[in-house]
Amino acid sequence: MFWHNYKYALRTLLKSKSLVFWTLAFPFILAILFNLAFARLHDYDVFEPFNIAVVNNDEFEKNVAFKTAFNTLSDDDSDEQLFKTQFVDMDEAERLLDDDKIEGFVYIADAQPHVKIKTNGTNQTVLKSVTEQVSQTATMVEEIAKSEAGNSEQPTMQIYLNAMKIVSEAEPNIKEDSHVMNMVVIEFYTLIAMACMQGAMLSVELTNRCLPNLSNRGKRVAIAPTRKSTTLSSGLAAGYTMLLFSLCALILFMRLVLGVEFGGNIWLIVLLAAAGSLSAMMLGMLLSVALKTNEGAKNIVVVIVSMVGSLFAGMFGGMKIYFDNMLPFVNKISPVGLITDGYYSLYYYNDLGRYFVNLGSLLIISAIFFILATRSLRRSRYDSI
Amino acid sequence: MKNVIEVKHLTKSYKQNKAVDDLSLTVKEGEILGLLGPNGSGKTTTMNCILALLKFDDGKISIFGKEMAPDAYDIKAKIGVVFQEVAVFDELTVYGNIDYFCGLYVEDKATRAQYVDDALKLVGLEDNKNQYPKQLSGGLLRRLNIACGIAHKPKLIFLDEPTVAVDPQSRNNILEGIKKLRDDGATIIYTTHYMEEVEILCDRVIILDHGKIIAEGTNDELKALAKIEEKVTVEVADLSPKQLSGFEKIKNVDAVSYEDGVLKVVFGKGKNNLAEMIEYLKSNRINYSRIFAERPTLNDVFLELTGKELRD
Amino acid sequence: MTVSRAFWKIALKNIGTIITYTAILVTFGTMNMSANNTSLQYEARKPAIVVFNEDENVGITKSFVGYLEKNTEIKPDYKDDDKLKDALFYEQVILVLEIPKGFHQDLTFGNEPEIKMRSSAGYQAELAKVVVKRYLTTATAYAKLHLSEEELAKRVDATLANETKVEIKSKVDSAKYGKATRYFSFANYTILACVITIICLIMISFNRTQIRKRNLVSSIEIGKMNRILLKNCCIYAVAVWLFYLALGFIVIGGEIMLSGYGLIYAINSLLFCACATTVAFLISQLVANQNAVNGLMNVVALGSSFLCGAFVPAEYLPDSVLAFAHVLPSFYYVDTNNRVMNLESFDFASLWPIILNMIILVGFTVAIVIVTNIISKKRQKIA
Repeated sequence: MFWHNYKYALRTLLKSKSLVFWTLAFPFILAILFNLAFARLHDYDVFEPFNIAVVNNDEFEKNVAFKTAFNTLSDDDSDEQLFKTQFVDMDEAERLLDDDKIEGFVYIADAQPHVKIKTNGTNQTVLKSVTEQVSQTATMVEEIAKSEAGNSEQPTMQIYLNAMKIVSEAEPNIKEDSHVMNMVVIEFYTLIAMACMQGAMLSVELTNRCLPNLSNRGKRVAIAPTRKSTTLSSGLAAGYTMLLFSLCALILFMRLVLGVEFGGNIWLIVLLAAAGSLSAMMLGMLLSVALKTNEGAKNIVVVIVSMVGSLFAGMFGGMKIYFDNMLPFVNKISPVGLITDGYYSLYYYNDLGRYFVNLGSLLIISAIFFILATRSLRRSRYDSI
Repeated sequence: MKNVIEVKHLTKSYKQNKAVDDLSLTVKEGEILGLLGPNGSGKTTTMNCILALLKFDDGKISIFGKEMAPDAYDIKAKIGVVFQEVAVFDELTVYGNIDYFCGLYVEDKATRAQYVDDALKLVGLEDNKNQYPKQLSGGLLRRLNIACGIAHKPKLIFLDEPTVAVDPQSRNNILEGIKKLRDDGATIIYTTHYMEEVEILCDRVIILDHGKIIAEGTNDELKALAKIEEKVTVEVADLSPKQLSGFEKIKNVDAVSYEDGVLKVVFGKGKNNLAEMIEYLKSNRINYSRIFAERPTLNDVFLELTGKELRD
Repeated sequence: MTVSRAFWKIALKNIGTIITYTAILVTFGTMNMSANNTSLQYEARKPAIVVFNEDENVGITKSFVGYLEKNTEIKPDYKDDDKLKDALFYEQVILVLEIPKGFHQDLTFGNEPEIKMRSSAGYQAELAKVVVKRYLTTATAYAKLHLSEEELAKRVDATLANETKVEIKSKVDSAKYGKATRYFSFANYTILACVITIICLIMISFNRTQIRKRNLVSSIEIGKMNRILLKNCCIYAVAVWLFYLALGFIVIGGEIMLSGYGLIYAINSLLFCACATTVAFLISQLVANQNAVNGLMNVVALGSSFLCGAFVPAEYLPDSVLAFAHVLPSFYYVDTNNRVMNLESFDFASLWPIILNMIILVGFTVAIVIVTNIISKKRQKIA
């Protein structure tokens, strides 16, 4: 009986175009869109040289430090290239800036470098910072050379070279504790969480089928000599199978095709998806039996729960930490929040403690949803149908 | 004959509204029982109570001698129900639907395949078995709905208005099918508001109104209640009041009415009423164009008992 | 008139759905705006750092901390290390520094004390590291001169005080309009979702086969019927637009909304609403049930929002994606919003790209109407 119902439930689910779209197609479409939209963000530690101009007036030509520095930083062949530089006169530089051909330009006046930009942005900050560094390094060399030479004398070439050596060899002792991290992965984690939430929609549909007060097919099931628990559990099992299959495909697609990074081993990743979709299915079952409205209204509730959950969990622009600080409990009880945080901790934390807390919470809320749902299911005769 | 269903003092209300009011009935093995009544008379509610789908306020229901309950699976296994609304999966074919619902009763695959084929044959859907419900016309969809309800060869079958909005051809097919099920040994409870169907199909009829049984018996027994033996209708172009009052003096005449050139004469009893009527018309030289006699219908019974028409 | 009345009766019947959808979308739109959204906001600002200072706040350490205070935004200590880790991940904190005990003496005597550093990923962190390293490099170099601690601190401070002057040419404060641009660009999603869902809901009722048959056999001609329906759809779309604009006043403020900039945002979004209406009308001709509409709506609205830079700024999208986006009306809508942000003056030359975008948007609208009419004519016979 279990397998008979399971087989047919699976068949009807797979034949239902809208369910297949939401559980199988939609997460993939979103994953591809995310990947396109966040492609640049994806490798944001790769610095791309940008366009600038340097005004090659007399002062620039005379200033050895600046000339050498900007020539080096603009060298196409160097790994340290920062700029794609045009050396032009002042008017041309202004014109290039007006036409948005360059991010900004540098000119030297009164022995001081000046940076001119149109609007503030990251590249402009880089340009300013680099120019400042060149200028300060030059000052430093000058100062050190003067000290070495004693205050009275003009430093010799040799002293300058020594001073430059001191400056270039001055390397502070910094110990960097580096850690893999890329905020964009959160978008993909919330996407998996949202895909898990499709389980709620599946289970609303499957539960409705079994309940005589919700559908005519439910009446048929109710008068058959089969336990309601058997039909319901086999139906939900079929939905769960379909969902897990689609989640595994989604995770593999993200990992292998889109190259999204996950921490931990594949079993922990799948286990979390399994627990997450279980909680979603239990939530759907609870909503289905507890809400006394039609199927359309129930689905709207499901959509709201999963959308608001996704928002809090960081989809639509990574606001997770904002909400974590403002309303910390929401992500502690919302399945979407727990799933996302589980993947996050697997990716970012070295120990598995936080992952298992999330996993455990998911199982606990699944159990709570299940108990609440079965309690109202026990009353199996109805006042009206 | 054994009683398959015994309902005693069933009462069920929706808020203030009494849907079923102290209703008792029995259904005997092998019969087709018609539950007749206008919309809202409590037919479907009674059925749902018997099936343990609905809570009820008071009363006792037993089926096959046992008390009915939601988990009385041994009883449920012998019951088949055809609901008023079509309840099938759009995603499954005709065959798939019947097989699915039959599978809730019959585990063995070979038996089930045989049962499904029998059901397809019974409702005449053999040629449509690979079609999807969306491709079926209204009548064929109703037949599928029936097949889904009875494929597991139940001993007791409930049919709730299975012929609503069905074309005549499908209706005949359905009625034939039901008779065949009875001939194969099933007990059938047939709910409808079409009195013609009840008259041709049912062995025994219960007439419901406002949740109460107002009459019960075979067709003939019920018609006896109508206190009418025969209605004679005559088309007469012209009648004077004097001529009209003359009809009332004919033997056995209970009532006379004349409207728009149609004369209706109701006879309470007697055998040769039509002949006497013709004789009377001849002897009084009244010209008529058409004359015919009718037996009373269940509508007349209902009219007699409640003062309103069944069809409203 | 009957057609219009039926239209609004159906709309009224679905008022629950309309309110729910509008509420969700608007909430998302505004939340997205008001949350301090670090990932999608790229204005230059001082990096937020956390400093754990184990050393006494004297001499070179004091100078270092003073430098950090000037060049970064020092956040208070995080007691909970997990919270700090999370903050680093989400770039709420860019850099964490640990200044060891005895730092000021060790640095002065050239012992090269170890500074522990943790950072988040990306540009922000790289820039912050440059800022920190610059001080330490300078101090390490001067320490080679064996100066007194006081003298060392003085020299380092003097050198680093020599900052490069930056002239900002544009008179526009793009940060000021950045918020408005984000609000209106996000509307690409909101408007599409609201307009498509509801218009399709209503149109599908009109297009249900049985009703369509009745409409087709009635004496009203199909073109006129479509025109009346389209007119009412437009009224609904204008209502959505007004609502969004009114909300804009609350979120963005009257100062911007009542300026010339606000006018361009308003005209642009109105044109986009019109275009969205025709898209909705087209979809309702192609698709027969609400489920399919919901699916298609999400693909269209999310797809165009992602590909055209409504969610992630266009400059961060790959060139190939942007090249493809040119075939979508949303691209021109979002592009106009981005241009308004950097608009310096209201002369013709500056406005021309914006006007061109608007013309293209109108072109899309007209083209979609024509396509819809052709399809509608073809479907005049029930298949």
